[in-house]
Amino acid sequence: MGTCKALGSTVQRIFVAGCLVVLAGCAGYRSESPNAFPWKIQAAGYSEEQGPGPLIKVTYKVSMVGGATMHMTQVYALYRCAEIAQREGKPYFALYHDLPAALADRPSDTNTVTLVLGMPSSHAYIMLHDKNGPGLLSTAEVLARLGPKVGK
Amino acid sequence: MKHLDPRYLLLLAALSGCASPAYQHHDAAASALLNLDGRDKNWICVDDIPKRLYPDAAGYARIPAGERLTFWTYLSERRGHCNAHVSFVPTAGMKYQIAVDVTDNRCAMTLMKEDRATRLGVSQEHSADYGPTRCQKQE
Repeated sequence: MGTCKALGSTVQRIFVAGCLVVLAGCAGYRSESPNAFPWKIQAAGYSEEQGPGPLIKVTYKVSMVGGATMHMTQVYALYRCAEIAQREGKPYFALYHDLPAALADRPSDTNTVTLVLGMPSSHAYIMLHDKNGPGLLSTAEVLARLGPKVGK
Repeated sequence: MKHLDPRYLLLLAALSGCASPAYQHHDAAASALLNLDGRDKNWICVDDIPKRLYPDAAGYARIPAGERLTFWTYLSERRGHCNAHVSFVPTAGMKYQIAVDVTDNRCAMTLMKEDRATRLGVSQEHSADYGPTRCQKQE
């Protein structure tokens, strides 16, 4: 009986520790795909989708558990866009709020953040460029400016 | 193990969209192609009657051209689901694509026509109308 009690107490401690690890992991910038964490109650992190054409749709969702602000969600999302441009070896990228803006070639310099089911979520379309041009963002500049804010 | 009553299975099948008849295009009629982008629950409304659309092997569905129709798609994610629709007049021989974004707790659809001459390979479809429609999808 005593062994059972001790075992139960250990299991409880492991469960609580596990919960704390999950909570801590949800609070900051996440560069993994949310699909990598199917076991979480609310998926957090980014996803990217190719198309239409050369556009890349970048979505950044923040978990309810993490409690990141709308502003930080915007920062995380833009930083992730720059990370993708860097990964693809592109020094510049155009950022579009939505698909109609991309079709009309109306670039922007910030992401928009909305609430989806009460949770901050940001999505944007990006188009990567080799050379600078009107309305384009510098990959290196965005990474350098936002890096400290996302803890990089 | 407890088995589901067959009546519930029939009800589930009806709710999942089996109730709408499939759209059958007549070969002689003018048509356009719509890329369903891997979505499996799609409908068009022609003459106020909703019909289920199914993709071919390439992911496209044939739709009637030259008359205004309404297209719906059902989007399901882990965090929720929604219906998005657009009304437009397809041009014969044209290929169309759709994209659905979830923002501000609603689904926003964008309809595009394939146009290789443009920088994105797609351009806006100017006959698209995302406003309310009187034709309702039947599930």
